[in-house]
Amino acid sequence: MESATLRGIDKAEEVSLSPMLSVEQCDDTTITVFLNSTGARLRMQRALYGKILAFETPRTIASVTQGDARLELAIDRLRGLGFLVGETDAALVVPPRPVTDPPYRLFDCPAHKSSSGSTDIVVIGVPYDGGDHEAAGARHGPIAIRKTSLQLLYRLDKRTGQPLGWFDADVRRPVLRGVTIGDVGDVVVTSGEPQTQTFARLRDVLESFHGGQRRVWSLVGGDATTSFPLIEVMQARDEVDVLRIGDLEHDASAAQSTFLSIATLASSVLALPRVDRFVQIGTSRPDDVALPGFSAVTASALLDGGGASIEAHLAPGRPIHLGLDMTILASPGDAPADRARIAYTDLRSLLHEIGERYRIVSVDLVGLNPLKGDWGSKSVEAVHLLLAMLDAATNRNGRNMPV
Amino acid sequence: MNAATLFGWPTDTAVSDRGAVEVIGVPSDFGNGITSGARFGPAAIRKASLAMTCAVAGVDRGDIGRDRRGDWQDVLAEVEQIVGDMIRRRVRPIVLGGDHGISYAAVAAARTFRPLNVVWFDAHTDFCRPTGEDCHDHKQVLHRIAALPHVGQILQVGHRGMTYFDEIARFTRLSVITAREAYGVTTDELLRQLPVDEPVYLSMDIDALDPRWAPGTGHPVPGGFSVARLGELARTIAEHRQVVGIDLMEVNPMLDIDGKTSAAAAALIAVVVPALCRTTAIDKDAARLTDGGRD
Repeated sequence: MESATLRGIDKAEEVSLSPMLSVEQCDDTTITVFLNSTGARLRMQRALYGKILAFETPRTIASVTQGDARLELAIDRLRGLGFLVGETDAALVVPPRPVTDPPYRLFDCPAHKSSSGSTDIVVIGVPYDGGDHEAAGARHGPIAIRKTSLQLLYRLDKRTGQPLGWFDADVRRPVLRGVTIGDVGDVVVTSGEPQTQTFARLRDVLESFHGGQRRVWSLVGGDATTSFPLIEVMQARDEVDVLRIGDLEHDASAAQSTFLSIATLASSVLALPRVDRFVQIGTSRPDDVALPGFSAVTASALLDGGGASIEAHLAPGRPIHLGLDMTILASPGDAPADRARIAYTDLRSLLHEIGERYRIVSVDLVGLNPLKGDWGSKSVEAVHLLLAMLDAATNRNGRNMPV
Repeated sequence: MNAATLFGWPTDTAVSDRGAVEVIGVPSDFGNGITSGARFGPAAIRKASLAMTCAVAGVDRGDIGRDRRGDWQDVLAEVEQIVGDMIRRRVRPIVLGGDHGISYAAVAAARTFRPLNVVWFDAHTDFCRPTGEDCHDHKQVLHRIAALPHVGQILQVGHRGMTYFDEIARFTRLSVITAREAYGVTTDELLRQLPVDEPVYLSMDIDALDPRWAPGTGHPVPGGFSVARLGELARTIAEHRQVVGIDLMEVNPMLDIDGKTSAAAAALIAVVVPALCRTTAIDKDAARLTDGGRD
């Protein structure tokens, strides 16, 4: 007697082609289809595909297979992969992928697709610039810095398979040697969706790829508000303070808004239960913010006092999230006396000092804007600074080991 | 309030009755999923306008969303409220964008005019299907506008270029004069599309211009109008029909070259606004053309 089901699928149920199905390739004999939702790909004979097309409108499996056992098996497989879906099938409502595969990965490091594994540094891009009016164009930052980073490729040792890292010629020592890096891709930012939805998706991705205590998250923005979901996730794991290098516009009157803007970033971060301090380095208006836990160090004070000038503001031993807004960086053409911004060399020294003094659990680098005229001169600086931040985050914990 | 105002116009709304046109800037580009920067359009157009003169005077009410926070829903709600207030005061709004999705709020605010015909100067039809209730996209805005109950005919002028499918065949009340057709269209042929006794909302996407005239926009398409030709077409409509509001959208200074796109936008406004103010009888006409203010 013929079985009523194909490996658990009811032949009497109506199924149809998944709305997520797209054709990737087609020649005289074969066709490759894929699912936008899962990325699943399948190559099949065109003759078979022609029969599958009967499911463009919902039909019972039996009405199409007509007892053809080979076709039943093929349909079984397509159903299992989600190419064919029933009315109540979850595949119909499969949410879009939360991250995209960028055309380049940071330093050409491996893609990071699994929540397990021992990758030390995990990178994610957030192409969102709706939270800071002045940051228009920063949504292109992640792809721009990835492209520039290809000048400094991530390589593995031929014998050990361990990362070779790089060499910092300024301080004459290896950096990130033995430290594994993976690139998650860019979180999807859907045009028109509320900011809360974008940030919830980012938070979900960060949580799903969280990894162990040793893992350092590296977020590339986007505007400065993109750092908030990362800080939120990190403080849920362990108490953390925030050290942010960049200017800040604060507006106490906006504190009640559900929309996170650059004006509410500090107050929103300090409202998180396990963040006690938010230290802003480089702000031009240090007295604008009157928030418990907030303190500021001007670029000028930093130039005079060096890394020691931030000691009074952070508690020793507490882990920190380190953020860098590229807009704080003095342009090569800026006058040396421009004490409102920080020169590249001073910033490098500061990052080194921060790495020596504090345990960095996550970093963000935001404000990269390839639409700005001086992007060309800042792009390589951004890549070098990101490496310096990652080195500062890993070297102190002894993970930056010689191969 | 921005330091510069359009053509140096005053900011005092108390004087708006004499000019009957008021400017509102909308520095938002949530509706462009690809490229941001149109949020700086209003400021750039105002700055460029200071080098020009406009034959009539209006009032510049500055930008909405001056606190620059909130999602697009908040932006559109504020635009609709402010433009609606202008229309209730029988003032013609001039909306400076920002992305073209903002025009939805301005057209929605003009609901006391019905039927309200819409003229849409644009390289694109902007008639793609909305992709969900959260949709706010400049590619789909005209589709949403067409669904507004007070909107009558939609005349799209300037469509051109390579597209995925025939966008024109999407809506029976949508008429399209392609850029190629519009090069030689006569005044009669243009106006024939718009019943003489029905009010019009006029929307100009700067990408209706050829990219050589207006490179500073998110989605330029070759084969567009010159500034003079677009100004001529828009002025013709403003002179011969009851235009109740206009907007100029999608100027993106971050993509501009030497400010020429901002200057082109300001020049277009300088050409259209005097024609807009030609009919000083808007108070009388508005009463005749509206249905009594019902929503």
